[in-house]
Amino acid sequence: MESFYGPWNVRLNHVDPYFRQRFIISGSDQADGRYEVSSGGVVNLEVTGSAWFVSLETEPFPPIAGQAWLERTIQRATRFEYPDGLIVQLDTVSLPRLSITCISMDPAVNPNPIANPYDFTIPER
Amino acid sequence: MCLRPYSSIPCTSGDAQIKDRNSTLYSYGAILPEPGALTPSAAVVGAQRYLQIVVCLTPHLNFQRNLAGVTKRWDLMLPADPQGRKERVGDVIVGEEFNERIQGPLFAKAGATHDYKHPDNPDDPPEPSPLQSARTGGSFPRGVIETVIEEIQKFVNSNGALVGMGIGTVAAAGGGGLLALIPAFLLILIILRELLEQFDEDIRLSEHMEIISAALLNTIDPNPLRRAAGLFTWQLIAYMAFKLQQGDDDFEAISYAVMDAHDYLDTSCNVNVDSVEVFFDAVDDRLIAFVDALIAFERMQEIQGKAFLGYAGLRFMARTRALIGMQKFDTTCSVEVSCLRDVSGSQEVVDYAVALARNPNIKGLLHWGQRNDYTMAEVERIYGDRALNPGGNLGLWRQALALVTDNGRLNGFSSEFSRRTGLEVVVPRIEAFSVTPSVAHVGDTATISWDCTNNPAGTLTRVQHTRPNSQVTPLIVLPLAGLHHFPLDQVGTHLVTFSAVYRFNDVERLDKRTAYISVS
Repeated sequence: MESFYGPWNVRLNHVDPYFRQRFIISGSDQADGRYEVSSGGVVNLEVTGSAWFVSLETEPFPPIAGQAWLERTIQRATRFEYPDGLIVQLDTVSLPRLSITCISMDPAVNPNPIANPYDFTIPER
Repeated sequence: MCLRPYSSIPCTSGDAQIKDRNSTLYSYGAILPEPGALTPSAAVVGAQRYLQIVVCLTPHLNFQRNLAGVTKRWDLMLPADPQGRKERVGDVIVGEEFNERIQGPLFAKAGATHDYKHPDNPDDPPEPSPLQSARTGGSFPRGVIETVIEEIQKFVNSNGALVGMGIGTVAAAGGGGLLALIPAFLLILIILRELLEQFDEDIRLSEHMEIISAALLNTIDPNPLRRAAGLFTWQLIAYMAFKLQQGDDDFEAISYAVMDAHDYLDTSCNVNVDSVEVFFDAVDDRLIAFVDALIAFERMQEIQGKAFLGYAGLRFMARTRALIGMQKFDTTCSVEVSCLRDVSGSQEVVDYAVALARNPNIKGLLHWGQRNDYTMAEVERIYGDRALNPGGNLGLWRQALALVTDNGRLNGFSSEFSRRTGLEVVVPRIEAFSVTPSVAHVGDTATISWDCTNNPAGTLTRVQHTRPNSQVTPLIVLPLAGLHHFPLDQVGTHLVTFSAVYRFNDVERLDKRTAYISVS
């Protein structure tokens, strides 16, 4: 389970087909729930809260008696990219793969990006 | 020390050189035999023991790159007359073989020189670096401006055909954007020459740079070409200044000449500096995200007509044994963001760095001795010992403080800073408490005695008497030490609850004892 603070936008990055997979949001102000995802699907979810959590789950295959869903181990990677800003990518560490991308919506973290009007280039020599 | 494009350090070898503790960035066993590199005069002993990466936040290559200067150090066998000793310490002053004030010999140059700058020829006396000169005069920015004027003039005169080293680096190949700025560069040349004519040798470097940035960036001229030419020229000046400061520079000298980089003659440049230092686990990618965020912020504010003048310095160190030391990780990296405050836009970057470090998604640890805006809640989130989850390293640290301050009664270590950040004794302590007798008859008198003398000022005591019929009687506010008597007027078990309560930064903590009296 990974923790987040403040407002974020959650998007589906990748999900392997042929498996039922989902992510769980808990502790948020208004977006708690289980979100089942499928290949080709689109997720664009606004989540906020002082501290909230994400976990990734897969339906076990072959099925495990008494266990409908299996919580996955997550690899968390953080980067800062212009113009999106602070980005956290959560990936399952093993197959089947499930990957979601969280983009910070906190203006104190990501000041409004401004389109660069400048072109400082010279001809190739 | 050498210059490299910043993006190559974390990225090209797979995000890697910083995140990989075994990479060559950390673990050269000896000075590399690079062409033109220093050949040490004595044998290298031990592994590389210092690593610093200084990042220039001002971009170049059409906003795509940032310069980084990498510094490494090794220990050498000590020669008989090591370089730096006579320059940094000098001889013992005659008659000062034992100076009362320092309880030792007084050396002529100790604490009385510029920082050590090795001579190209070891036989020559060292000369002040450009920045040193700039602190006592304006030759450093003057020299940079003169070089920039020369480059732009050549570019303009040749209609863009002659591209100097600086312009060729700050611009990117593959377009003609800069050619369109040639008319605007003519105006910039006039501005730069006026700056030179009005140059005041007696003002600080930061004031020079504020004048330069205001002239180049913060223009009210709505002409976009003029704004573009001004920003390009600013980036050119920043690039050249950084390159002068962080260029290739291999030398050997005695350790204090290398490591004590303080300029004892500096009375101007450093007095108006603001800085913050943020610590990360070096293998956590939040470190790189933090630096990239600073670069993105600077890029954004340059487009808006402001500019940071300073550096982001990454230094690497091992884990500390100190309970609340910032170096919490096996390989810790600190990012020091330091600016010349006079330049409009510099303070903004430091403020942004502080806000970003404090964001719990980034998890940066602020240096205790530099700008530190932590609240007690943040310190307890990072180092432990929250009221609901006491303990952790901060809990141990507070216990140690309690030992030497009579549990906070002595407040000699207390300050506005320690109170804001919660580096205080926060848990009250009941040192002695007793209720007698424990067995009694109706009509007898019970006595409570207590001692809570050793506690922070503001600690309160509370006593509650619960009779056998569950009737609860809170007693009067009591002193920190004393006795209280009350009648036992019912048969059964009486409960006495005694608490010492301390409310600090709106968080209440208590120490509590209970006693029973059986009455027949």
